Amino acid sequence: MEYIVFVIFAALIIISCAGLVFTRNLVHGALFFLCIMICTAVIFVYNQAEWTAASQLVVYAGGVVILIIFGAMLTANYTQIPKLSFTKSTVFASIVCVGVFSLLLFIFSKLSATLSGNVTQISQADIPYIGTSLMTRYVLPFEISGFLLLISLIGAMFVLSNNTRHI
Amino acid sequence: MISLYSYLFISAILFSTGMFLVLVKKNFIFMLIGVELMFNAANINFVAFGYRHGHLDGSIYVLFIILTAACETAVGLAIILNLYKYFKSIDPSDVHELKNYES
Repeated sequence: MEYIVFVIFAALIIISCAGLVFTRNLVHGALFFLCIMICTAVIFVYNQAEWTAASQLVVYAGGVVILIIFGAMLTANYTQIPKLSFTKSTVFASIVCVGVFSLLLFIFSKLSATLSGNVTQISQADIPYIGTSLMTRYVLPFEISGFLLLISLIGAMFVLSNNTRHI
Repeated sequence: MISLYSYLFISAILFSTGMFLVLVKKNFIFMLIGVELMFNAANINFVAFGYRHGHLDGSIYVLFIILTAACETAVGLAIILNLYKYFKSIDPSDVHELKNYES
């Protein structure tokens, strides 16, 4: 049962990836992206990372998809993206991607052969451990990422304001 | 029990699809989606390996990656909209000058 549900969500991810490659409509692309994000959250739940799955849903499925749809609708011709043509660069890029994919699969098969079998069960609960270690062990990255968020929001507003025309 | 290799297979698919989108699509927003897919491939790897090793530090790294990706999307979309205002196009091959030398 567990395995069947996993296979269904993995197949959804693969189908959405194919749709993302071949679609010509940017809004459809954003919806495929949303589907991939939700399935990724399900995969996080399979690995006992419930809080990460929740933040994935909130940030990606809630925030980033909305931003992408906004960006798509503020630019013209978002439903008439030119079709994938078999030019020299497309063929070259697909060869490179298939090469990277097979290289990754080769490395991962070696890795999982060495790692298989020794699953150590996570002893503590998810959320208390993350909360405690964000405030003790990872407090510096936490503060820096908060600062990064502030800077990027101010920077995005500055880039979009009309002042940039006079620079 | 689902093997580690299944998660790594999905992550490899996501990574190569993101790379294909970045390399091929003639549209800045699709390229941004491709970058997000590559981030997600890394996230799946972090969570899967963290679970196999029995501690939760992978989830914390995933949190930082998600936050950085959100920042990147906000700034990237702002830059894309500004480029669209200037060049009237979001095709990367139309954007070939950093500063307008005529004026």
